Amino acid sequence: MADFDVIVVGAGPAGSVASYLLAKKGYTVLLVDRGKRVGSKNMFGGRLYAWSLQEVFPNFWEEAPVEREVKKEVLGFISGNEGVEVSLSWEPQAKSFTLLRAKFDEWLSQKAEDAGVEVISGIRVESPLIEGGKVKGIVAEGDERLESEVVVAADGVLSFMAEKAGLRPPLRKEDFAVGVKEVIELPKEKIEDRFGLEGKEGAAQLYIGFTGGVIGGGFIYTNLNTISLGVVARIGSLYESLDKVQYSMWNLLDEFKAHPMIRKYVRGGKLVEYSAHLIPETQFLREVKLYSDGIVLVGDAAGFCVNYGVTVRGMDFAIESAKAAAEAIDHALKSGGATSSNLSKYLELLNKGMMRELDQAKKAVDLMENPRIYTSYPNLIIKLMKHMFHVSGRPRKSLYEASKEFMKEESISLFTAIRDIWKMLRSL
Amino acid sequence: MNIAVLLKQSIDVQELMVDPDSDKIYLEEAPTKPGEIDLNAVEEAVRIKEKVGGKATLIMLSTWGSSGKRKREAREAIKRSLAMGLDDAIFIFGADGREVDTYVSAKVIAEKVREIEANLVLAGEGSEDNFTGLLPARVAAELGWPYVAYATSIEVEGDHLIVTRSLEDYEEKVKVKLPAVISVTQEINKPRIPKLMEIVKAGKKPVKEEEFNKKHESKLKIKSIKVPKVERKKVVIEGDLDEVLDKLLQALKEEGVI
Repeated sequence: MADFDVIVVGAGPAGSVASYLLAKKGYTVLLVDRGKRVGSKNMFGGRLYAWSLQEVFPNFWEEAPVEREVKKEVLGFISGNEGVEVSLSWEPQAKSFTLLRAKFDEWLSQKAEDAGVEVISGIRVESPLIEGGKVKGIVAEGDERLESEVVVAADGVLSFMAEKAGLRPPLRKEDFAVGVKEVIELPKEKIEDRFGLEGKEGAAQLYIGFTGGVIGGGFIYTNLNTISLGVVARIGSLYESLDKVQYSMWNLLDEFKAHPMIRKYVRGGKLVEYSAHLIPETQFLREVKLYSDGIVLVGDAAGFCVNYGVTVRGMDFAIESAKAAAEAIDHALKSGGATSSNLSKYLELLNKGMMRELDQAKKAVDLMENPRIYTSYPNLIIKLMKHMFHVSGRPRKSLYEASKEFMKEESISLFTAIRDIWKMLRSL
Repeated sequence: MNIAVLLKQSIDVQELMVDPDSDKIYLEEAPTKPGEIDLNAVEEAVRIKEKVGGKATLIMLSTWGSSGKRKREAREAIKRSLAMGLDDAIFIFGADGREVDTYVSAKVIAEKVREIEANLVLAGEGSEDNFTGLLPARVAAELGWPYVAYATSIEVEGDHLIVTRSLEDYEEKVKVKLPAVISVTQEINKPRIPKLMEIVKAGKKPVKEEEFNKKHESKLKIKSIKVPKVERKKVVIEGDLDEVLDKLLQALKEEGVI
């Protein structure tokens, strides 16, 4: 007799949502997290797209500890000390929110607990309990063995559960990007004035061009009285640039924060928290097996994350995968057990749903591998803008003439530019 | 043996944030956790119970406000203590921090000790945040029981306890008749870390949650809590290495450092 129907490892959004849904269906669920407090080890950039969680908890933002609803998007191009910002103020139909994970994840796990899930934090799970090639439960610290019908590995990007169950290859640096983030405290009114916001409106701002060709970018998300500011970069790309420039992530972050366009946002702010995190690359998904006898991977553990170079989406996919996993597990346990073939329902559900978006996203990811996006194009845009606004009392070249000249300076041929734009239009 | 163990949720000092500009201490934002020495008391209660049988009840009076966060933290701590092997718990919640000094705490706790008819009270020698070390003595006074402080070992001999007290220059063995109040030091034992399944099962042990009763008034009023200020001398010594060293040594001598 198993100790639990389901054991979920990791109380991030995927783990809590999967536990919640399974407990609601009447299963006994244990949710284990290694953090001293649930959520204390969890980190992300700062923005959650609401679509996937909304189906589980309609209008969750009325109750959950979200910070601001994003109603302003800014795309910024940086070159040297100069920069261009393009800004969109809108009323998005599909909502998204800025939030801080420690609070939010605790709220989600509380939801699971209220639904009857046993939530235990501060305990490390060492590995899956494997017998006869099948996952039968978990081995917790102190060699404590707990049995379950099925294990959900929601233990994040470094998922040792997945690795030890043989569902994914050992870690390689090419499979990851890295993100570093600071949370900077500022008075609420200052944030609203500086970012042009009212009430609970929030801004999401992305920047490229300051990374010296490294694939990556910077982000700023406004919270209620803090700002999440950080940098994301591909580890592979960071490595390649090591011989040219001595970029460390903290270097990049400092440079970003000190840029004349950015430092105005954070001036006078107080650093209250800093953190770093690995991000799985989308192509990594191809090498991950999403389920096997007695185990299902969800969220970052499965590699459900899209790194668009400057922006990363993981939390909404994590929640969506948890929903599919809960449904597949319910199906499997009702059809005689969590065998690999019964759990194949998981992939079936994913293929009908979010996998299509993930596949589409892969194209955008390929596009973002184009190094010109991180150097030449930001330079070009800034040069053109400067040319447009340059007034000296003397006649100047037409915009067309100037563009030709600038493209030459950035060594972009007309053909390359057209091809890049065409690719951009097709894949975004 | 019927043991009452006292456990206080202390501010987790390591996670306490201070605003250097205004000297504000973020007490409400800081998490609370059970005091380390209190866990030694829990462990000792479990060990005594394992040896001579009986029952051990946790008594917790929440003193750092009555927010939902504090309640969750306290419940979590109670669950862990129950997982270590205590039988049940009484959790008194709802007091505003300013309403409870050791005088009030002792009155409230003594009442509960009588209610459960305990004949031994175990507590840590001091809490992790305030460390007044007053509470066990005050509880003993309220109950009119003997009090033995700083125990490094406890042995049961019939209706007596042999308590070893480690003092600075010597060790003292005290024989005390039950009922009694004993405070323990960190050397007395190593608290066990409960296993996962024990924590799960602890969730089903009885916890009596009671509303804090405001009938006693605190004698001690906290006027302010501030961070100790260290003023820097802000002296810069310049010159070549030998010069700098001489000046530095001179300055240190003047300050009486060396």
